[in-house]
Amino acid sequence: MGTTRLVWWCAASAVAGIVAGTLGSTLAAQGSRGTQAPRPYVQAGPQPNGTPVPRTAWGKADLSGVWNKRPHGGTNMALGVQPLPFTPAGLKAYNDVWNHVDPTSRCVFPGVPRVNNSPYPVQIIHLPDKVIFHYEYMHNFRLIHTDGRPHPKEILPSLMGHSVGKWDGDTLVIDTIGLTDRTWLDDHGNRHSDALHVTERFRRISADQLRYDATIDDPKFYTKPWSNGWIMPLSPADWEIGEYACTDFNQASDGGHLQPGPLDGSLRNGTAMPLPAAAPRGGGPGPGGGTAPPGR
Amino acid sequence: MSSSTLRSPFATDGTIRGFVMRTLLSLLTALMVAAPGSVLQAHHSFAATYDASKPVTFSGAVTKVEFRNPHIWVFLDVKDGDKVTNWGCEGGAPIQLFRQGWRPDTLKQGDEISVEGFAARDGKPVCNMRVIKTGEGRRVFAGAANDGAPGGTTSGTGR
Repeated sequence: MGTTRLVWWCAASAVAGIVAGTLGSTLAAQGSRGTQAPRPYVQAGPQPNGTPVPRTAWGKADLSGVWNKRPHGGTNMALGVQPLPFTPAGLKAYNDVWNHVDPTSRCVFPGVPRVNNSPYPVQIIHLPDKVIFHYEYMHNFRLIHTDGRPHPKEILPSLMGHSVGKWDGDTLVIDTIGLTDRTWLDDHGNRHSDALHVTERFRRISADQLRYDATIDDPKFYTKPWSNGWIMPLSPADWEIGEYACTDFNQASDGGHLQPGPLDGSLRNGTAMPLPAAAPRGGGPGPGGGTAPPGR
Repeated sequence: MSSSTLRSPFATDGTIRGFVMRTLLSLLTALMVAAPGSVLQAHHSFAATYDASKPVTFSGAVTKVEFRNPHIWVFLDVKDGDKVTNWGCEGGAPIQLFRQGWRPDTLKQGDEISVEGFAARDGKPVCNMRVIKTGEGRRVFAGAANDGAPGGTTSGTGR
């Protein structure tokens, strides 16, 4: 995607967002919350390669491994999912991103699903009754019980939320609630409220590929759920999860150099985005796709 | 810095083995950049601090290297006439750079280097480094791709 296309794309996002926000408020007033099926796999990124899927001793497609979870450096959870079905509050938050420093720049945990579109690998440990995620980024972890337990009745809201898992065939389905509104969805400045409910799906589709999908269901910010997904390749065999600490010598933050706005450089002049000649929409890849803006 | 102490895969040690290793590693790096599983990434990325419209190139002597999380920093004294400014330049995450062959002693205090990068948005003598060249003409990967900086993965042989 050339720079011009990027500009058009950003512009289209904003305009589409305004339109969607207006439409969304109407839908919200009618109490209508549609659903969106997981997107078909249309990315220009890696395609399933058909190599044999390793299995656990108890027969599941084995998720274990160190996965390079943000393969293309794509950072926009909503790329190819335009227009987003903003509510007025959701659109306001999206446009207000310029007034805030990205929370991860201040070492706030990335939250869910952003932990999966942030850089650096994740090690997944697949056990019969739980799946453990060790994220290199910010030395974070998630422990997902798959023994059938529900979410607790009371949840203390947290940056990474509360998750439970279940198996749908060979797909691990993780349900996460109990999130705060202090994290963002991605480097692009897509936002969520404290009503966010995330459904993530992990499935090993080949020897060295993991299919990831996330559905964003946030009735305060979006009139209906929306989804995106991509393929995470297995990392080189000798990779171990190392230490990415956010606070040892963080001169960008501690030195006071941080500026507001999205991390990926979009909207960087802080002005409203211009009207595009034509609004490209749909068909694009997710964060792992092949048409990410230049320099990503 | 004597060449024998260089541990970067992009070091020039003049031996056949060095040439083969260098070639293989360069090829490997190129593949890593080009492949779907590109490993060169960074966070708190570029736009939070730096300005893509302010490219900078300067040279000076390394005064300090902080090979620490979340991103390494290299400090150097840059002379402009009689004026000396100590610039601090941010690179990639230590664990990532380690995987690419960097070591904490790859650059040492006193090394003469030139830096290509982008200046901070706040106007302070702070930069995001994309490429470092040593006095020997060695070009080492310094920055972090996939962080929103212009040029992305295309600049520099060591990316």
